[in-house]
Amino acid sequence: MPVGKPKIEVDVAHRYDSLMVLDHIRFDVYENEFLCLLGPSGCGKTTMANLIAGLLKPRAGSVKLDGEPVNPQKHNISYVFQARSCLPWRTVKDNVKIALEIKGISGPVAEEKIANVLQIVGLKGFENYFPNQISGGMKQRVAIARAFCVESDLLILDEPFGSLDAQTRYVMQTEVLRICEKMKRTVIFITNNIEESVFLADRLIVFSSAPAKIIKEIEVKLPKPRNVTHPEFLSIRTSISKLTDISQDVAGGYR
Amino acid sequence: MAKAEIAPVEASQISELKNRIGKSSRVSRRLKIYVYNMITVGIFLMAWAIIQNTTTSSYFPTIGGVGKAAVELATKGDIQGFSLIQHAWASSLRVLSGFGLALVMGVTLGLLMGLYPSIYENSKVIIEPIRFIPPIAWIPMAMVLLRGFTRYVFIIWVGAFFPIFISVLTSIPRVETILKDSVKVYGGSRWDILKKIVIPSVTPEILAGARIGLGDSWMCIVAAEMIGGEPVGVGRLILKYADLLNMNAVVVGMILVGVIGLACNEVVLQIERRLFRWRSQITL
Repeated sequence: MPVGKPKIEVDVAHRYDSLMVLDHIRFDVYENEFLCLLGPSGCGKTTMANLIAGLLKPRAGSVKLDGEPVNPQKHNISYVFQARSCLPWRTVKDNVKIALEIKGISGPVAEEKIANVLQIVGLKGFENYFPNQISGGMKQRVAIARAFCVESDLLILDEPFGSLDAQTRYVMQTEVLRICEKMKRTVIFITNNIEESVFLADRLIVFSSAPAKIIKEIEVKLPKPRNVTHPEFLSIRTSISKLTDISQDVAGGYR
Repeated sequence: MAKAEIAPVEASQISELKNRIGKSSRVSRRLKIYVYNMITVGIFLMAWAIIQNTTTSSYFPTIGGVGKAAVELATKGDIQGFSLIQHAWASSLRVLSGFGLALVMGVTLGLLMGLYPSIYENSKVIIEPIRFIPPIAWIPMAMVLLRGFTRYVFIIWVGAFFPIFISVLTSIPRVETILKDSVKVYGGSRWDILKKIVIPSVTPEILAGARIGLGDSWMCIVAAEMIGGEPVGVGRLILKYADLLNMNAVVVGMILVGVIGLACNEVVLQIERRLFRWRSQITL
């Protein structure tokens, strides 16, 4: 179990009108850890992400960052959305820049950060392209670049690779690991893919389908980057599969 | 099973693809469009000639007659001495004023009511019926309440305001939430969201509404000038010669309106093309 005071304390319950979507979720996130939230489609993961990011106010309970209720205007939060969040009228460079603009960072300092982060995600040379000229994987990389160019207390990624093909997905998973190694951040990664979560996470929280409850918290102590065919990797993966069989529900399910 | 003969790719094609510069294909495309447009004009003239020779009406405007009238109007002006340019200028000024005012007000009110829909919802019972009154129906009001230049500006404003207003109003709820959230999560205020997301998002639609509004304005000017009272203006020109049953000159007036309209449309289109390079769709 990681030690020290948690960076983020989540203690919420939430409903949308008639649907109880999160049935008392309670967990902590520690500094610089890579936490995966694993759950079937439709279990409320995106709601969870929005609550943690402060985009949504919980109906009951709260999300605290460094002891205070989370507030995107006060805290530095980066978020990579599930769908394409590139602004179509801005170039790649300007899409990354917008995060800095909002934080009030401009000038040569900003330019340097942008160039640096575009280099890291592998989009150097595409600064002046428009989103309609680049592929889906590249658009997500723009969103990731945007997320990394600010010094954030928290980075949330909501199923960022869901709409990508298998090969790009694998490449991006490795990339995210590499970037997070380089720029130490507290990361919450949301997915419905068991292998992805075991590959990336320091710690994993498995959710049931809606109304969502935490089934189990699992620590993965294997060294990174992980070998997906390694017996220990596979045994963890299998144990999670078994867990989720119990709560396998109608909509979505695990992959 | 017979296989279709597919020619293998040749080395020369590959080297051509690698060396082709983008610009030349764009130029030749433009050229093709001009040529095809000229051909369309030719077909139109042929159709006109056919009707001209088969019609029994002695008033039907002939190609030759229109040509002569055009030359005469261009060089000597109309029977009151006003030149074509004076007519065109007078009308254009009225349209631009009415349209400009409508653009500013339409965008402002559209943004306001789009962002605060309760204002619109609570005043719908007045706005919607007014919207449906055609500009032409406002002419008697304009005649009675206003004088001179303002008469025309008012009619044109009525024609141009509503398309722009509705375009802006309806495009605001369509701004994608994920884009707004992208700014919100990094700490953007409502003003940031408005400036950086909403306005760039709706600008294409504003321009589309403006193009429609401009077209409507031109339709209104002719009607307005026919009744307006001042001796200059393309609408007035058309009516003057219609009174004299000089259909050839009437057609010249019609063509003038059409040409100015085409020019306006092209200007807006070029603005659209320049502003919206990021769109993958083709604007017509």
